[in-house]
Amino acid sequence: MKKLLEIKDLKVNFHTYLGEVQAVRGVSFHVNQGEIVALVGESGCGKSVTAKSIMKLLPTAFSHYKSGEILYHSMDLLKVQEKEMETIRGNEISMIFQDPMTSLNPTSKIGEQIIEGLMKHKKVSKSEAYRKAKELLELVGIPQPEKRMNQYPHEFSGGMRQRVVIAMALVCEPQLIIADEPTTALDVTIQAQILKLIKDLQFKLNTSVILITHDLGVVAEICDRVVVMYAGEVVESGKVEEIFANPSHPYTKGLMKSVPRLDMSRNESLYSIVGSPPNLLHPPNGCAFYSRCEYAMKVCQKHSPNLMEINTTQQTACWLYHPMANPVEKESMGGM
Amino acid sequence: MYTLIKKDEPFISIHHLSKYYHSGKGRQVKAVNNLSFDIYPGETVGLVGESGCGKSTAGKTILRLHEPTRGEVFYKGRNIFDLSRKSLVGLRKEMQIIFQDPYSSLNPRMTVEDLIGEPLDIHKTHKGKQRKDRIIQLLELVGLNHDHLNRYPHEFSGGQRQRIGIARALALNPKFIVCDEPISALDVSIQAQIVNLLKELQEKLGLTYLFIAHDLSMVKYISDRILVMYLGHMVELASSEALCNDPLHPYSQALLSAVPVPEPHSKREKIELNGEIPSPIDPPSGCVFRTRCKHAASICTEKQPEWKEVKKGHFTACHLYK
Ligand SMILES: Nc1ncnc2c1ncn2[C@@H]1O[C@H](COP(=O)(O)OP(=O)(O)OP(=O)(O)O)[C@@H](O)[C@H]1O
Ligand SMILES: Nc1ncnc2c1ncn2[C@@H]1O[C@H](COP(=O)(O)OP(=O)(O)OP(=O)(O)O)[C@@H](O)[C@H]1O
Ligand SMILES: [Mg+2]
Ligand SMILES: [Mg+2]
Repeated sequence: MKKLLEIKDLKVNFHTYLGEVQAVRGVSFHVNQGEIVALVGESGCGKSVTAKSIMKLLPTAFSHYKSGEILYHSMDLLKVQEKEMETIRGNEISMIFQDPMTSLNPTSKIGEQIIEGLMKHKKVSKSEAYRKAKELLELVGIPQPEKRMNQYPHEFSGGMRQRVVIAMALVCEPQLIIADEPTTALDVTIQAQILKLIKDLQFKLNTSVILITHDLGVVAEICDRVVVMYAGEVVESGKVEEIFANPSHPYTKGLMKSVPRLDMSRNESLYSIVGSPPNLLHPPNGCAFYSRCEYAMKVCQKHSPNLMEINTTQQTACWLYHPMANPVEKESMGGM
Repeated sequence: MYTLIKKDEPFISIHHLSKYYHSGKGRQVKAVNNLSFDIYPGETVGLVGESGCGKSTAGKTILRLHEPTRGEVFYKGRNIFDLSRKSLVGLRKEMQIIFQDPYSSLNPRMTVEDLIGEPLDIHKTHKGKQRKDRIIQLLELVGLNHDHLNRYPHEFSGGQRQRIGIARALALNPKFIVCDEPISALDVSIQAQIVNLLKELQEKLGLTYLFIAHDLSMVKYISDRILVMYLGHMVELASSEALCNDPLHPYSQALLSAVPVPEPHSKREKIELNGEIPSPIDPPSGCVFRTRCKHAASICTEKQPEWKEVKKGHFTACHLYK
């Protein structure tokens, strides 16, 4: 399989008046051609910042890339000039944002916004763009697209706005779609339609997708591989079957246990991982999960673990999997 | 143990509530049609349905953040739509909303301290050190801390912003909270924290919730009863167990089957809904769901199904049930 995108040791800081927020702290992962990769992790762990880095959309005045490479077709996007980046954005890589309002102009009609995007990227006539815009809205399940094209974003419900944003991202049939919680605002039946749409695109056009989501049901349903982040770092990655059947990092295990299930009783308390993630202004020297980990050892407090191979496809950043780790401690993991 | 304080008197009573929006060229968006149900003290009613079916509109109209087109909402025996602006201010303290969208609902130019302090200032409940203590207490309640006081919304992740919204809603010790998809933007472990938190607060403070969501596994977990809406209409209402184990309406059945299961390669069958969602500008005649319903018969085009109690406490509007 060919690698379409490879991120190596990406570090991103934000300047705030309290100091440097280390939002992304050495993230590495890759996406193969035609693959759907899930990016999961606790709120604030750096998923959106990683995604925006790929698009080079971070505010340059407040943020900087401390190190790393983002290789797209072996070209380092971090070294590409803004002008060239503009043609990559939308044409080759497009992003569906977590917040649909940031991608929509509140003062302009929905139809105009899609038509404008089409004419800019596809160089088609206005009437052709109109026809295509209508088609795209139908594709994402907006009823009466002709009427809807004449309305403004605020006249759409949250979910409908998100579908418009998805339609806009699909305009140019990009090679890589970065979808930042694209279905979070949608109900399950529409979510099922959108996921099918993403899956279809991947199948038909061999599109690669980075899907940021916190819904592990969605991950299980359409993703090939999973990258788990915690406090700005990758703590585990592997094939979707591996992560669900055999989560290895204690954070991933906790995440799996927090999933509510339809067959759960209302009287049970939901499992949640106690404590909160570290302050990224002053991240700890050791493992970032140390203070919340049920299996923490001495070494964890002092030294941050690197990714270790569990097998050729699954990796985890946890001292418990170090070849020299005490086997008794490994044993106790089974009971989680 | 989580107990249901179901007194006979409803806490909030919604009678034939409708809300239409004007949408240019004399067209009307029939966002909410003829909603009638009661919410009992200390109860959580879950409100679910397709995107655009009118859940947020219903929630906001029940709080009179929107004026209704028709209908009444009784709170403490009074129709809130008859209240003067002045009495409405008092009502605002008791009834709060946590907004769906953690981005646009927070003023980007205000710090966290001011955002959470704002309701305290408007209602003049806390001053000086007391105010600051209360703000820190609220931050801690939602899993943030005093380090965050002087930061602005854009410096937070989506989930963190939602927690700021929750802290704001809790500031005045409300009795009733409309939670408009408060956890949709959060990851599962924080969802669990927030839901446990909302349940804990409910027990401690005797809160009553209208909990809007589209994640049925979470709604089932937090709600005593669940109301399902479709295209502005109520289609089913039952206890959450009955609704999830024995859904009657074909739409509820599809909704349940579409919940993604956290198991790769699961073989579970999904009921796929065909056709597109009709527009609330021009809803179908008869039953609003008929264009996507596999059981649709001629009567469904002709006649709007009545709202009936099919089993004890289990209501639905569908011609399949006589
Ligand atoms: N403009 C900014 N200034 C300062 N800090 C920021 C800024 N943007 C993001 N951060 C911080 O960077 C970290 C990562 O944020 P990010 O938005 O990537 O989280 P996320 O994983 O996408 O979370 P969520 O699931 O809640 O969307 C957070 O701690 C956040 O507070
Ligand atoms: N201010 C407005 N003007 C005109 N139409 C509106 C307005 N607000 C909402 N609508 C329309 O009313 C209907 C119901 O919208 P509402 O936001 O209540 O849906 P919802 O069920 O909360 O959806 P979601 O799950 O996507 O948030 C939609 O068709 C929407 O387009
Ligand atoms: Mg994010
Ligand atoms: Mg809504």
